Amino acid sequence: MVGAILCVTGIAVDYRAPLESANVNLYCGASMLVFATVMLWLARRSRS
Amino acid sequence: MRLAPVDYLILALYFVFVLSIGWIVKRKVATSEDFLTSGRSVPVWITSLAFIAANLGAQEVIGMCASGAKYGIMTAHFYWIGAVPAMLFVGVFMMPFYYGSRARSVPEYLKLRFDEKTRALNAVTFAVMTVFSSGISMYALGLLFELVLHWRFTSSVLLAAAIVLVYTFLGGLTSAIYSEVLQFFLIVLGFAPLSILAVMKAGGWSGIASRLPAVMTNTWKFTGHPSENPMGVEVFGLIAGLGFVLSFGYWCTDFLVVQRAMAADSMSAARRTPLIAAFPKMIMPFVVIVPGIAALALSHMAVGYSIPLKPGGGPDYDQTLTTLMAQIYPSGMLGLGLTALMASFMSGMAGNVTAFNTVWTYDLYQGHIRKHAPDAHYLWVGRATTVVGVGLSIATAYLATHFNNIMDFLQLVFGFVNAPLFATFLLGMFWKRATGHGAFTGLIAGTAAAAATHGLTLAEGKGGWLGTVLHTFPSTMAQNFWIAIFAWSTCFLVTLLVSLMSAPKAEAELHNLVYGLTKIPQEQVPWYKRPAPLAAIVIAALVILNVAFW
Repeated sequence: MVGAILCVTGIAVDYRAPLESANVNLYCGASMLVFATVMLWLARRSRS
Repeated sequence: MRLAPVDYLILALYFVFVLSIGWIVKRKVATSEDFLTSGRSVPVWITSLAFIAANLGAQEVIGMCASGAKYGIMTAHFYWIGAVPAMLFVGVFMMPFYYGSRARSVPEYLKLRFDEKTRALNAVTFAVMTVFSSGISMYALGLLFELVLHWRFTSSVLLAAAIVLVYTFLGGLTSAIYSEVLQFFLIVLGFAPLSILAVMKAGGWSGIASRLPAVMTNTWKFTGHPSENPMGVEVFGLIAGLGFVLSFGYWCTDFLVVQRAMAADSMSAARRTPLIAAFPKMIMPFVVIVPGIAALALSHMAVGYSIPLKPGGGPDYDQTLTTLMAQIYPSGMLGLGLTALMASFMSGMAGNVTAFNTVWTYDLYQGHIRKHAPDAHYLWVGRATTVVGVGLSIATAYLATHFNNIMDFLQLVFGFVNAPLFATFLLGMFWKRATGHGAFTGLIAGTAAAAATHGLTLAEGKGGWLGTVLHTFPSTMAQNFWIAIFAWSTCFLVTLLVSLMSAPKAEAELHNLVYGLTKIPQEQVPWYKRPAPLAAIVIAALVILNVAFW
């Protein structure tokens, strides 16, 4: 959920940090979504 | 620092999640053991993450970042020497006795192994320290959010305490454990990007190394003499004081962390809990310490960042983490970082309150006040103690506003008590001849030796309260290491001597409590589920890390 919020924020709003010009929210949000997908896959695998 | 709506949304989401954890877990709580010990039903990967998260409070996160900026990568010794070896030891050698004895708490193990007076001494000191520690967590939370976000101290403390109260009242230890796992992921996801971005900004590790003195990027090279490094320590004090006594004294005997392993669903899981936890523990320096080192390098680079100064001059290292976040994180990730800090403070409180619960209910209340009540009564007592524990924590937080050296005092007391306790457990678990009189006397003597060492030595203006100063240490860190060494040695010797002069328990009473009288189960599991191979892998990784950052 946090990953999704950060991705949407990164796409919809141009928040930038003083020392960092990259879209940190989008990159971190996307990474979290990948992490969440892996965790969900592991959870499903453990139940089957 | 100003928060945007998305930051508040992430924080609110966290609050909803932890309250939901309490609500869901509540349905599984039917007995006092469910509430206070999780009914020994928690899966190993949960107990493993909770094992390190219970220790990974926000003060550690902020403190380690500060220490990284002040001492460099030598701070990693607190993990690679000061935690991981002890975690391996407790998993491989001590957990069979903790779990196999069926003791519900560490003090209860002392009662089974030794006698009631030894249990009572440990239970009382632990209960007092835990409540104070919980209160200090709240105090630090209130201070931080007042400084960084300009929230009122009272509002932060009461809001956090109310949420902790709700989910621990509903779900007990299980709630606390699952919220600690959530806290762990929040810390990693909230601060690992900060570490990566800060290091990249500083030109990578080689860029950092080129901008800072060599001592800041080496762990062992400058430990030949205290004057060679900013910590003021040398290799013997580091290994014996931190690596052996303080480290083992904490990770092997402190009920707050041991309780997480004892909540596991099997002996195998309990033994593997600290071993599995050792893997992320080894990586944590890169998440919490490296940002501080990178911040120092950035301060030398004229990129627009510098470590803030205290009002009287000199760097305010404690603000390194929050100021770095404010410069590198946009709104969104900033909210996640602050939520991670909030989660750490709250989990620290929850962990301490649940540990306090168990010790109070089983070791003090059931042990001395009302021994044979129905289980429903102890469940009620456990829940009531949650409320009292949170109340005492809030009171301690306010007490700390009047005595701002209370944190230092608490650290000192921890050192006085934990160091000799490890000697007691070492002899108790591995020497059949150790007696209750020996253990009790040894603990008292060890604590007294710790106090005497502190009172007769000076370091950075601290100590020397016995009037005579026999030695001056270059740093309080070095002083703490040597206090621990003297405390442990005294406890060990006194326990040994008094045990030899007193009658031991019959061997029939020591089954599952001491080495040689405990059958350690040999499970038919794959090699990666056995303690010894896991420990060997961790040791190999530890050696590689120490050599890589020599």
